[in-house]
Amino acid sequence: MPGPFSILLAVLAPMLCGAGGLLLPRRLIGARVGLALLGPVVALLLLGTAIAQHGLDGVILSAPWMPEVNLNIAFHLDRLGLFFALLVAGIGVLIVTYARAYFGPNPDDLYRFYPSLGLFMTAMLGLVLSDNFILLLLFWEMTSISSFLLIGWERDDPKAVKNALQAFIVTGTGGLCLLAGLILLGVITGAWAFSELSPQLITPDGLTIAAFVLIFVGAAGKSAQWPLHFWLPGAMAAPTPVSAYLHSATMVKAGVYLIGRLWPLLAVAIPLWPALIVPFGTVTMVLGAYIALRKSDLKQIFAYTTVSQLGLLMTMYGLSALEFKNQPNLIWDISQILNHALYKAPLFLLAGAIAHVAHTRELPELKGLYHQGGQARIMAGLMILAGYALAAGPLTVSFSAKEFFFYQIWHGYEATHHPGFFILVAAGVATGMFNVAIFVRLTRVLLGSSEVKPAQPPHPPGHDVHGQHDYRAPLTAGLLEQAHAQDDGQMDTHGHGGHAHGHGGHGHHDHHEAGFWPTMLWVPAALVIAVQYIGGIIPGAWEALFGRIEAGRFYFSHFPMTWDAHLGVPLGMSVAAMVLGLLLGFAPVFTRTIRDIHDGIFPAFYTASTQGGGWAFRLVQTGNARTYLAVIFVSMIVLIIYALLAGPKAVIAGWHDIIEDDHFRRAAPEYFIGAVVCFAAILLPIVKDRASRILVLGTVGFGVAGLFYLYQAPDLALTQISIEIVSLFLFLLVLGLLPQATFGRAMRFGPRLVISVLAGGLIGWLALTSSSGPRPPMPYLKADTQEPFAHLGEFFLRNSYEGRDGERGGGGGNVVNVILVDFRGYDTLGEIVVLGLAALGVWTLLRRRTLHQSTRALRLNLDEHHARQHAHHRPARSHVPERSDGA
Amino acid sequence: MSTIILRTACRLLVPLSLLFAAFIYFKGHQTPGGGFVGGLVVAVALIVHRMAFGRASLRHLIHVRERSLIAVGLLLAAGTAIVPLFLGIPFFTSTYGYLPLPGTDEKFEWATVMVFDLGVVLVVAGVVVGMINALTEELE
Repeated sequence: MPGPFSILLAVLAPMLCGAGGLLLPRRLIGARVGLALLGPVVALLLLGTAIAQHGLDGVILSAPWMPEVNLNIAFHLDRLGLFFALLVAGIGVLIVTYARAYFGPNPDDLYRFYPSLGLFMTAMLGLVLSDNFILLLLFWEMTSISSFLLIGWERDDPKAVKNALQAFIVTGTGGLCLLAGLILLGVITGAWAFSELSPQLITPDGLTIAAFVLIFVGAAGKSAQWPLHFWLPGAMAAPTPVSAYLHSATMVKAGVYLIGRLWPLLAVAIPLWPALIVPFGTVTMVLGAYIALRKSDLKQIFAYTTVSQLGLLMTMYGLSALEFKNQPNLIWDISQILNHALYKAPLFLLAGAIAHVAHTRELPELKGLYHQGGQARIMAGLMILAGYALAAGPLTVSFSAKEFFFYQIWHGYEATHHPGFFILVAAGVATGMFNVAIFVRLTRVLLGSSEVKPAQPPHPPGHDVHGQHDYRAPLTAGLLEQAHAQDDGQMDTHGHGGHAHGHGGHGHHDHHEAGFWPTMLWVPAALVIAVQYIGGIIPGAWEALFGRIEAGRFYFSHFPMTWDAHLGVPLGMSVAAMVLGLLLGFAPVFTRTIRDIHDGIFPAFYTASTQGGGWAFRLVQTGNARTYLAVIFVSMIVLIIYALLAGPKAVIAGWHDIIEDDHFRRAAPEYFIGAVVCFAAILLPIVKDRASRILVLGTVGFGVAGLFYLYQAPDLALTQISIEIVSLFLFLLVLGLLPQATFGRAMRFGPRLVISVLAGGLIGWLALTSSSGPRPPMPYLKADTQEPFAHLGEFFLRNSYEGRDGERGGGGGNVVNVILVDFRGYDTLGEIVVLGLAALGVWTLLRRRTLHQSTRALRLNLDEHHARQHAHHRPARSHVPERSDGA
Repeated sequence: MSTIILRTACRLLVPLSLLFAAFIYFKGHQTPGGGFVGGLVVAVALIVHRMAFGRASLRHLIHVRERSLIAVGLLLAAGTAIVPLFLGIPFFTSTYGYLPLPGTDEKFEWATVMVFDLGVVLVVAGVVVGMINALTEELE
């Protein structure tokens, strides 16, 4: 396959394999897992082939897609992109395996899960490999959509749906900002791909800075930067495989990836770069680590440490702009990112695994898990090892990574001597301290003295809900749902037990499996943690495994490991963080759980927007068709008159040509048909009966069809006749559904007459002038005579059958059809899509209308108690009057 | 509306209309006609059939739901646009050629956009029949 298409196939493979799984019979679990594995494996193989062929030095493989709108299938095979792609596909393999163990041998869950996961993998692979801006945006939006499906996995749980919506709206809004930012950047620089962009093209003027700010907002939304970070802990409502995949290794890194992609291009050129990124990153970093310490649910703790780590990575890229003694202040950034994936993914995987065997993820209830033996002992041990990496203890890659970050801060200070760096130093130490404290507390609980679990385990203050959960039957019953229900525990205010067993897709927790698959709950985690320690203890191993992906490795002979840490301030910061963290871990402060105050942002926004929307709806939707038409026509009249007064005068000059035009002098049957049409049109408002009006309207339509025929446009005549027949049917049917009475206050006759005459007169006059006035010359030249075309029609006529003017021909004698399906094929494609959507809309509306009385549409309501109290007597807010005999 | 006159006329008119629709679709690239009109004629024929013989009979005649027609139509249209990409030429590039008709000297001129046009036929027919069907059901 030529160039980009093997990469395109690698990108699409997970999605295709996932979709293929839908065709398999539900019972074939083995085949389904195999097919789902095939996706990332094919991607890995194809990417490996590409690396072998092109190396790591940023080959661009490109094919035109829609060059007119700067959209090309262009992939950039450089270190950063390939690293992310390999990470996505590699961890993807582990997640597919883990998901099989997590969901158990239940056909329904896997049937639904793997296609969504495949879609997400494809989106992520495409995102990190795209070179073209627009292509990147397509995949960016795809990650938002597919993560919505995955986060809202428990689709019967209103809280999961709410959290999915929250994640979607935050990342989607960020995506819109990114769209604006990248398009602005493309328009300013003329470069529509990362590889075309260079620092020389960037001038730090207002527009470029606006573009950069918009891009940063998009990246910050996706990568959960304060104050938009709240969606990430909320997204923990997803099943653990999703959390481990999306929220540790892949999706939340998309924003970091984007900033990492842009820093060599923009960091030095735009002075705002460090000033904007570093503060937000730092606040996120400290705040995330602090809240993590004050959470009790394992997934919540790790979610907030992820937020913290994302803040750290952003800060790292923010500091990259500060060069010092001609040495870049950013090296080994990929190792920094990889390091996070290497301890965070195992932590999430193990959190899910522990919930599987211990039936809870609340930290206080896991006391002494290590002493329970068997699987629990392995998992607890592995979690302590991974937690040690979270704390950035010596002998892990994480330690070196944190050292590097501290070094970077100090380096930045030396470069600028800005006093703000002392805040940064304190923030770095504080973050390290919180992480160490989290590890200490985690270890203390897991290794604590084993005790018999009380029937009603003690709850930390603020956790009044979970006492309702049933712990009577360990190893049976769908206890995992309870673990799900405890997601985001402090907000969980509804009893969950009843629903957990209610719906069909959840028979899978009813028994534990034995044999191979349960070990898959912890084996993927163990494999990943091993890399942390191997890399931390043997620097050469890390160098051999991952050295090649670092462009900056030439500045140092190898990744500075434990034994040659930077003496001086960075090491001092590390030591301070560890000592303080140990003290904090054992100190009886910060032990109560708190809720993140930012959790209120989205509900407030949601309420404001729905209420504002309702207010606007009541303002605009009066229910009176005449008012709507009047608004539309008045706007149109104003716009046309404005254009005539302010626009080029050429339009007005056409009047003379109309009088001179041949057609007007020619006595012809069209006068007769024209008179009929006019007569029918005047009759229209006079006739009162609706059915008669439709017939009169039909007369107008058929008359126009006759005119088309006389003017030698049989195509138009044929279409017009068919349309008239169909709309006759439609009108007659719709009439039967319309109420007889009119609603709302009717407008008076005078204004209506003025609006009608103005609108009709202007449109008629525009139609006349636009078809006979002089036109601006066409930019195209005729190939044989080199003269410009007089109008577009001439161009189409010459090129309809075979191309004569440098254009390829459409191969059709019927120029109208060639225009529709070939020259203007895009338009037609768009039109039929709109047509299909309109039909779907009609169906949905009619269905809702029919269902209205019997069932009420599922409404998402943030205040569930409120919903429960009022759900059965909420008044219908419909302004469409219901016929009592309807349906 | 189902009178014996309509039913009798329908038996003759519906096949003829469908034939005519096929004719204007195939000739559409060279002479007046095309996918949009073709789709409308198909839709009118099917609606008349529905009026004469009822909904069950229409279901029996075309076997598929209208929304499937729309989906297949959109897939065909989008597919025509996308396939050139995999041959390394821009989106929506079309081509045409000639197919000798056996037994005559005539040649049928085909074009890849005819697939696109077929998509238009299906979407238009699906939308019109589907909407009218839904509205009629609402009334019945």
